[in-house]
Amino acid sequence: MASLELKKVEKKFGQSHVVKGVDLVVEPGEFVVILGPSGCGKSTLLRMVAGLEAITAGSILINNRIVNELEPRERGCAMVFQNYALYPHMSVAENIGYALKVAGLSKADRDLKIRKVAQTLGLTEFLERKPSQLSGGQRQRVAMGRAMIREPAVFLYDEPLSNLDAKLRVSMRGEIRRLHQRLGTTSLFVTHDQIEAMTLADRIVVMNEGKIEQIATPHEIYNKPASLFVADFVGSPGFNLIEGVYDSSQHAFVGLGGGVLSLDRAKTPTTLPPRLIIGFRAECAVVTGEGSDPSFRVDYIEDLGATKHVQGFFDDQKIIIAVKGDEALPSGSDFRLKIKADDLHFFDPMSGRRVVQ
Amino acid sequence: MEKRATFSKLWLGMLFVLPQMLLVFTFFYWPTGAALYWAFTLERPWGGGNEWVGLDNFRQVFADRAYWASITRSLIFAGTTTALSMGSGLLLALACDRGLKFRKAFQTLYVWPYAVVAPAAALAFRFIFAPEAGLFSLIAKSHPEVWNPTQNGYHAMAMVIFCYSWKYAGLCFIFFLAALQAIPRSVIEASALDGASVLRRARDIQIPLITPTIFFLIVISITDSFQDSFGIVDVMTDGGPAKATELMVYKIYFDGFRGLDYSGAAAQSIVLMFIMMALTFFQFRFIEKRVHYS
Ligand SMILES: Nc1ncnc2c1ncn2[C@@H]1O[C@H](COP(=O)(O)OP(=O)(O)OP(=O)(O)O)[C@@H](O)[C@H]1O
Ligand SMILES: [Mg+2]
Repeated sequence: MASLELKKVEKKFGQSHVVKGVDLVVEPGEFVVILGPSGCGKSTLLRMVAGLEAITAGSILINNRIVNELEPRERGCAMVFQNYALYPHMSVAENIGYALKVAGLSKADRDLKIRKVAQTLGLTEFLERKPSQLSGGQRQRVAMGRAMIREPAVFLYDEPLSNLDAKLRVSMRGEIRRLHQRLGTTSLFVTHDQIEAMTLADRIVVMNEGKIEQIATPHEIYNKPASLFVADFVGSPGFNLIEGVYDSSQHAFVGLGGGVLSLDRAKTPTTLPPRLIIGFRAECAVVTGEGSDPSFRVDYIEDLGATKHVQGFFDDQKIIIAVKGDEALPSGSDFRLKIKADDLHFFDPMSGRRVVQ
Repeated sequence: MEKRATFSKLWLGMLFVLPQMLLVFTFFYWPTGAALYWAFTLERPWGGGNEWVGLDNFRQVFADRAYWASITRSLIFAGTTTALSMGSGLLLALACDRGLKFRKAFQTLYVWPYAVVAPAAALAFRFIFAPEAGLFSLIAKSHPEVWNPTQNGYHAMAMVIFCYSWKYAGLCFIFFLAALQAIPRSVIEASALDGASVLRRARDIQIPLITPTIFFLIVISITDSFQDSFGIVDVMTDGGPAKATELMVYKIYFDGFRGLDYSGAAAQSIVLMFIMMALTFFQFRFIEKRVHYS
């Protein structure tokens, strides 16, 4: 098992600054997911680790050895590509075994290993087929087999599941997770799908515009988003953010619309900035009957069966609340929202960062 | 569903087809017809039109040892020029595809030779190879045993082959480069991660994936070498020395227009036509089939 370390890694394509100083330490055997919106530089970062893209500045260490100048094949990384990138003229067996062939293993040794990998991935009956004769899911498995067979130091995945249909994606996700538990190879997995990130990761790296927003466990990312971006990006149906100011004399939050929300002194940061954004998850608010300030005015309701998404206004700012499917809420009426002090998050609108205790 | 534009009036459609039909007729069917006519007839010695002689002209052509020699020469020429031009075109394309510096400039430079008409290319090469005044003439003077294309048939043949290959390498280069660039980048990257070196990658991944292009170029290159070689031979060597560079197409011209043996030349051109048809048929029928993946 290998460790992977990125130190102040930068990437520029001509004028455009795509990766802006990334620091990351991946422990041996850890499964780290890089999550971020399209175009934020995730793939570029991964490709720099693989050696497919030169590094503008900084350094990358695998097993504490700087690999900046090494060719891809000397780094010991294996990569699974989004479009699989199988060799179209080779059979499944040849695809999986190509790295071993290049390494000079004898045909007998190769066949043995290919059989083993194929068995793990349920590909035994397809070994003689060409990639074009396989379904998307099977191709995906071949791509994984090709990466596995080399027993790489680091496994790199670039959105490997995004070309699969929803159902297959879920099952492949499980397979990747199981595989990692068995092999324990240090892995870096790129995706823009938060569910994928939450379910697979030991730790998630949330990226935005070439910078890291937060590195933390899925639980912490969800429950303690370090920035407005993370809060907004992770979780569904959504994270409500309300702008206002902090009134230190009453220890209360005053929304831009004038609504006052008194805060629990014990459970809020001791020092809050004068301008403030408070946030809470859609599912963290409890709707209670009587109307009092600040009130929640229901706009419309989306019934999804198990849950209802209630769109409405809180202190004149648009928010969304998720309630149980069997709760009856007439539209157009006013309610009061109760949010537990633990579920309230405070952000500094200037820096966009979380206000910490 | 395939959508087609149709012309409501037949005559309008015909009008559009007419210019192309005229061209095809004037430059293909008419000359072919004339050649067939000449090939099976012989001009009467004292005038008065042609006389039907059946296969006599062909018998005579095939009985001629000089003709068989020109066939052998043409085959050698086709083989070597195809190998040389495709080999160098492929090497250049592989180098360009790797994204070396100044790629765009090289790309343009490599294509130019193909745009040059054969006689012009040959003229240019005469300045380099000409035994009296060319750049190589110094060698020809001091070491005629090393380089002397006016006297030595092998040297002359080598010169013609080199010049022709130089011209065709540009065409091969363009096709190879296009084919190489059509290979998904990620496939190449995957092979790099799998540990393949540049040469290994070319052998195991790139060349197998461009086999359709390779076979297409073999067809084009071989068939073209039978006809397009005329300009180069005519300008550089006149088929000499001692007919050492007399290829099939040059012999047709020589026998017909210098020797004034129209019937013999016509018979030869019919033979050449059949050889080319057979080659093309063979290549498309048997080789094309084996080079598709999907
Ligand atoms: N070879 C290149 N030359 C110039 N710009 C590039 C190149 N490769 C990527 N970029 C730019 O870098 C930025 C980040 O690209 P990257 O592929 O890393 O995004 P990503 O996070 O993987 O997005 P996605 O989720 O859509 O795959 C993009 O704005 C892209 O246009
Ligand atoms: Mg990407």
